[in-house]
Amino acid sequence: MFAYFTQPWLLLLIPLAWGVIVLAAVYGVMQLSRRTLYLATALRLVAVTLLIVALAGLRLPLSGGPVNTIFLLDTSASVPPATQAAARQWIARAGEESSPDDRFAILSFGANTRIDQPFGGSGTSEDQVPAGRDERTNIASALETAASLFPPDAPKRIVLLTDGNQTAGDVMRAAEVVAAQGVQVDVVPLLAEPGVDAAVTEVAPPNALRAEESFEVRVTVASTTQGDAVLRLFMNETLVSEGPVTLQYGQNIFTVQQPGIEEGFYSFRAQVVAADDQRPQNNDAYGYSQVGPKGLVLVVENTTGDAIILTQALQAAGIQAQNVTPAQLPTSPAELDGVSSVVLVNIPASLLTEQQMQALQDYVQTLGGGLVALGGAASFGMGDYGGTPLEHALPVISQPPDHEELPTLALALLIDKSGSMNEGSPVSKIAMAREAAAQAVEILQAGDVLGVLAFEYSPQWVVRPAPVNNADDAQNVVRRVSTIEAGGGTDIYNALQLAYDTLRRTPAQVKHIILVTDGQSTSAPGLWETLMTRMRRDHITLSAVAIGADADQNLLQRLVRLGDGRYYYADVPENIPQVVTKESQRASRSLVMSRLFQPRVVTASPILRAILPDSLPNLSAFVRTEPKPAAETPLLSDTSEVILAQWQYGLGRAVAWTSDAGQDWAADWGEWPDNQRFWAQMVRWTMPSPLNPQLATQVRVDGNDITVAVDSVDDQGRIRNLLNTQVAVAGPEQRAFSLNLPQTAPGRYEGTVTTDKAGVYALRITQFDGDTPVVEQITGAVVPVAAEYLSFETDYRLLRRLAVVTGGRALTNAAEAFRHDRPPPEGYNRPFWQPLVVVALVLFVADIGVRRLRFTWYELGVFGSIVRSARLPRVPWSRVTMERTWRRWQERFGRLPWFARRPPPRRREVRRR
Amino acid sequence: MSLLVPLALAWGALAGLVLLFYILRPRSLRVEVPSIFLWRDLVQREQALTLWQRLRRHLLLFLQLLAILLLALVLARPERTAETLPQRHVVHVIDASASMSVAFGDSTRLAEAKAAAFEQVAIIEPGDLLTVVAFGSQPEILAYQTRDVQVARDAVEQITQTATVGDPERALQLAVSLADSLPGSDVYLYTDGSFPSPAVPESINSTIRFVRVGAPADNQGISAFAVRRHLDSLEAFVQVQNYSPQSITVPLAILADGQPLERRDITLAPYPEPGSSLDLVFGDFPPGVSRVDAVLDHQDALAADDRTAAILMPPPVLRALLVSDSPFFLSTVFAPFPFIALDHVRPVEFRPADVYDLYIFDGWLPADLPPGNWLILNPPAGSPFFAVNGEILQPPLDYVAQDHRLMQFVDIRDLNVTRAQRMELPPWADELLGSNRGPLLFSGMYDGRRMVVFSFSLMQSNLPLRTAFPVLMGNIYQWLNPYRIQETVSHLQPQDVIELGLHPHADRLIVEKPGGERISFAGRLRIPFSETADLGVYHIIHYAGDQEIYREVFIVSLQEDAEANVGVQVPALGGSQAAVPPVELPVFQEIWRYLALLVLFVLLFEWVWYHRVRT
Repeated sequence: MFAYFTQPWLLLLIPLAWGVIVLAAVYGVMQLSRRTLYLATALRLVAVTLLIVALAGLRLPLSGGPVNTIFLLDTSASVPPATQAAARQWIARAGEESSPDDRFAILSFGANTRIDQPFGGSGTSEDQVPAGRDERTNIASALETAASLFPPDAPKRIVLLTDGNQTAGDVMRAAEVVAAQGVQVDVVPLLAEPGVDAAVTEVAPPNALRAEESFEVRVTVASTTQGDAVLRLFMNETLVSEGPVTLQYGQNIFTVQQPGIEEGFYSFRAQVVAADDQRPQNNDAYGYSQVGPKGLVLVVENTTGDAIILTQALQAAGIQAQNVTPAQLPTSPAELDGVSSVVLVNIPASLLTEQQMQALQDYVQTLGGGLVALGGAASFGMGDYGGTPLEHALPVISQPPDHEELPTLALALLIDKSGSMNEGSPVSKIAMAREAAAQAVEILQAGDVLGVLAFEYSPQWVVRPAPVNNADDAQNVVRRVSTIEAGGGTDIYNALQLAYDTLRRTPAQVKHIILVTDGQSTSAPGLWETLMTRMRRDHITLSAVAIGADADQNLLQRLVRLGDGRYYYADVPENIPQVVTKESQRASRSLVMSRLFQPRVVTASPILRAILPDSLPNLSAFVRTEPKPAAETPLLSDTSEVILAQWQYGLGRAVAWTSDAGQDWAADWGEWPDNQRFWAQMVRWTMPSPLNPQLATQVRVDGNDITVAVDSVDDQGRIRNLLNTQVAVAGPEQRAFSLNLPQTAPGRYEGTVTTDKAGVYALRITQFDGDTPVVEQITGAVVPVAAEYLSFETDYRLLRRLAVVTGGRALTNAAEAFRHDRPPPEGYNRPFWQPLVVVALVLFVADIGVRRLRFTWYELGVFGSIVRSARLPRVPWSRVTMERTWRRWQERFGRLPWFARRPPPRRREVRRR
Repeated sequence: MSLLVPLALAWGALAGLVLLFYILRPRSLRVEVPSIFLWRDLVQREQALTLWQRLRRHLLLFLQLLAILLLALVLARPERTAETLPQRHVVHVIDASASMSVAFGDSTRLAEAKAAAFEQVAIIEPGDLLTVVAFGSQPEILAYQTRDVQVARDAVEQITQTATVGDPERALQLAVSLADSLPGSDVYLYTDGSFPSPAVPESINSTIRFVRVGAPADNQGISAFAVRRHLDSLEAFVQVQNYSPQSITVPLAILADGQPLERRDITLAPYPEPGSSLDLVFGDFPPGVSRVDAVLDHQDALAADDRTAAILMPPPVLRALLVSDSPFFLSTVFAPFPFIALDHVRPVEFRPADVYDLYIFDGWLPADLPPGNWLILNPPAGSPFFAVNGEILQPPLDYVAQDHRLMQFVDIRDLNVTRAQRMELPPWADELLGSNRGPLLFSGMYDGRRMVVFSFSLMQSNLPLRTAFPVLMGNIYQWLNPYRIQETVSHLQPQDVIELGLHPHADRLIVEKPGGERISFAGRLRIPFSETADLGVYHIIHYAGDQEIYREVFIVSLQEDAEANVGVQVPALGGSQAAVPPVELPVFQEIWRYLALLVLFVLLFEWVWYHRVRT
């Protein structure tokens, strides 16, 4: 309503008063000129009318009226007592600034809201109010409570005095709700000054562990100061670790190593004790772990001992490892049930069947298993992973990056020219070997080194190792190779020794030997180990092509294992060129990068947790690969090629490590203190959670309430309805109690547990069909201790937004709490009698002036000009201007009676009666 | 007597001006005469030309000074102690929640409560102040601190029945806060007690008195109802509760799009025995069902909880446009989201005329942002929308708004960003991820649209490779999607608050209530809508001009044990009584009105005296 009167009947006085005034003027003694009388009568009529309107109680919807203000004081523990006391004094000052019609109430809040002083009442003196120590701050609830307490008769304003650190509720949503109710929220940010404080803000053990696996608990400590402290870790409230730590200002992260533990549910409590800590309430924090059954890792190695470093690391970490040969790897994913991860240690694809690789892919993708491929000269591209299911599952493509410049290759082709090589129909083996050598030339890049060594009992370089830079060089090689003729016996060792000695001195980055033979070597068996060891040391790899059944296949296979190469078998001579060409191609693609370098950490990874990047030892070689787009590459080489790649593949995880397992290329890693940690973390990252949740459970903690929501679906994906669902809760004091989770929707069961103590709560959820347990699951919840004490600074941003949303402002002056700038609520217009009385008073005085001074119309015109002149721009006072002003006044006011000069004579009409 | 505005006495200084008028010699009246014999008085005339004259006693002057001083006193607002009375504040709190609609005879519980309040109001003591509060889920003051019995009666009379769940705790808190201003005050709570015993606020000065109304009644109701789609089939869960002390068989009907699907007779054990509540699941719904109703087809004390419904409304497909030169990660992460049609163009191919609900700008921005919601990554320098002041290298992540809705279930602690734009956080935005050198991710409402901004390119971070990435983008997708993407429509209790958001292409929305009432909103970014007291289906219709562009619905139904259990109970209010007798206090009364009347009389008398009538 625009305007209304509280006593409208008093308006009846208006005609009465008007009658008296007009009659008196008409029939009274003539003392004024007519016009002056008109003016005086008009002034009197208006003045009296305004007075009567004021008496009738006119109310208008005007801004500027009184306000109802609620002071909402945060008395939670994050606001220091001194600040609370200062805030109460601020409120008292504001109260003194209020106008008589303003009303205010004082509420204090933490977790709950209390009325310290109701509207119109008297509250406790600020000196008598003890400082609040609430361990929760629910600003949202306080705002909504305050908004509901306002009397309806004046604009509503909440003055919120807080540090803005809410630990429960949604204050912005509450702000919108109270704004919709017409409540304006002003804010007075209170300074959060925790003083000297060290707080445990997070305890993070692994949520899920496997039995007997060692693990780490990460403890985050926030500190407002620097200094020494003691950090303790309790497991199931038993002290398991205690030691000094040095705190820096801000966040400090400490890692506490723990040995393996048995299957079960464990609570952890970390405690920091620092000197002069002023808030001991935040010295503890909680976490929990569920420990499942032990996991089994299959370590697939081709040569016994390849995986020894890895195996030792896994055993030291409490991970059960079983070494198998490639042939023992299961051929179906079902057979990998119970295996947590499979580690391939330098295994070429040729040693795995298609079924085995497919089983591995399915195991990772659909069963959520883990896969680790460790490099070596027979792995990735060198192991012919390209296009296999194995490569699908890995985070890298087994090819070097296209854009990279290829390293130089030194290739030695050792061709057996013993007499038996003349055999074969329609073409002899030696002819095919010559053809193979000729084709290998075509594959090499410009600058690569090629040597062709023909051997029987004694070896002889047909083509000494030299760069093949152009077509002439290639023609020369072909011409020389064509001169090889068969004859004599077979001594592989001497040939290999000569090739090694020559290649060793060749300045190429990749050195490879291809041995083509059809016979049995006459060399002494004991010589090979030393030679092959030296070859490996000098990063010279060996592949072998066995021709026909007479070849010493056992020896050749052994040699390629020792030489990190590949083994081929050509049953007929016609296959020799194809096999040699393939091997030459592989070598020419320069898949192995040999160079001493320190890997670079480029992204954080759980595999590298607690490992200092600068501490990483050097690597001497790795297999070049290219990361897949969705892969992460925590470690790169000095030339930014992949050393370590990881990714999520379907339900499982896979890791590619492109160097070897520590035998040769990563030999320095054996001496590295974090060696075992690194390998264990790598394998552990791929292992699936030991827990097999049968229920989709959501646990939400809000203050002291733990809300559990369970979605129950059976193995066929059908919703499980109408089950009796119980949750057994074991709290920090080991007092267990049970709660029924009622069904709220198809397949969904929900309930809330209210706790009375901070700590870890184990929740065992069991669904019964009748009395028969159908499914059971254990999970946990942490009710944080003193969330209130984890705030360290005032949240100005939140408070500013809160004020903006509700149309309020940030106050600095206490008097602003009662500023009168808002229109009244509907139905409660502002009383308007005072302005009316003021105007009536002024008009009455003017009326007296008119009657006493008897202004003429001319003089009133002069008065008008004075008023207009008041609008002239001001000029600085000076003697000249003062004189000029005085003269102007003489001119203007000289005509008035109190000036000496008389006004010009005018003809006046005399009122006659 | 005291003065509320003593400074107003300064207006009395105007009396000085009046005195000045009297000291100045009034100008003589000029009169034309036929003779000059008055020239003899020339000397006297010369005397009349002097400026000043001596102040003389004059009744008019006295009256005028009196009037001015009285008016100044009026403005100073004097108050007097009218009388000393035992004063108290009587607050009548009347329950208007759903259970109060239970009828007995020709009356209802609410009518009985109002009648009891009338009686209590009538016995007002001279010093009493009356306040009337009605409550459902929220309290409302209908009369405030009045001494007028009729005003209080009118307030009680206008209380109407609601279908809401009562919140006596908040109502009592309000009442006690009002009543505690005077010792010995009373709070009368008129209710059937159909609610859990409230936590009664501590009272300093008042006593809470419970006035029980109604008689026990029998009721059965639907206490839970939900419909869910699973594996392309629908299932409905219904929980039926018997609140009467007798065993009863009630018919439950399930309707699909208004057609009967199934009807079962349900036998429920007496309350509160275990079998008094029964869970039921219904399936085999025909394909394409858009509404499922559950109805208890019988007469009982409370009809409000006998019927409920669920609306199944597949949301419209979100039209999204990805503008990027390197769309791999974004298109990969958005593609699996439900109800989205994602187009991709390169920046040079962008046409502003193409209309989408969501625009994703990656490393590029158009000159004018098109209407819709926006996801912006790596905004270029020189953009008119953001202050981009160079780049920051390797910004450390030192702030995560873990409680923000967009960061729910997002564990992003190991985020690494190689390079980001150095931006200032706009005033409208919430910072979600931040470094000490500027925000990395923020969101907010800008120009009426929802906006999320990454200050870095995905290619310059490890974010796309983190498991948190799809979770974060899922949250962002939900927030930027103007359509509710839950297929089953939200269910609210009466007077719950629902947040409405204007569709980015709409300029207004209308909420159509179950009774047909339409409420229009325009120009508001987020609208907390609380007028949900009526049971039934609410339609939210978004308009662009006169064209309806989107319609959503929500349902309000009563599924609350406290209200449905209509047996009359006595709430435990122990410990709330403050045995403080009313104290005799002076009743202050402002007397400006009497003074103003006196002034009026003085003014009239002064005027008449000035114009003394010749006899």
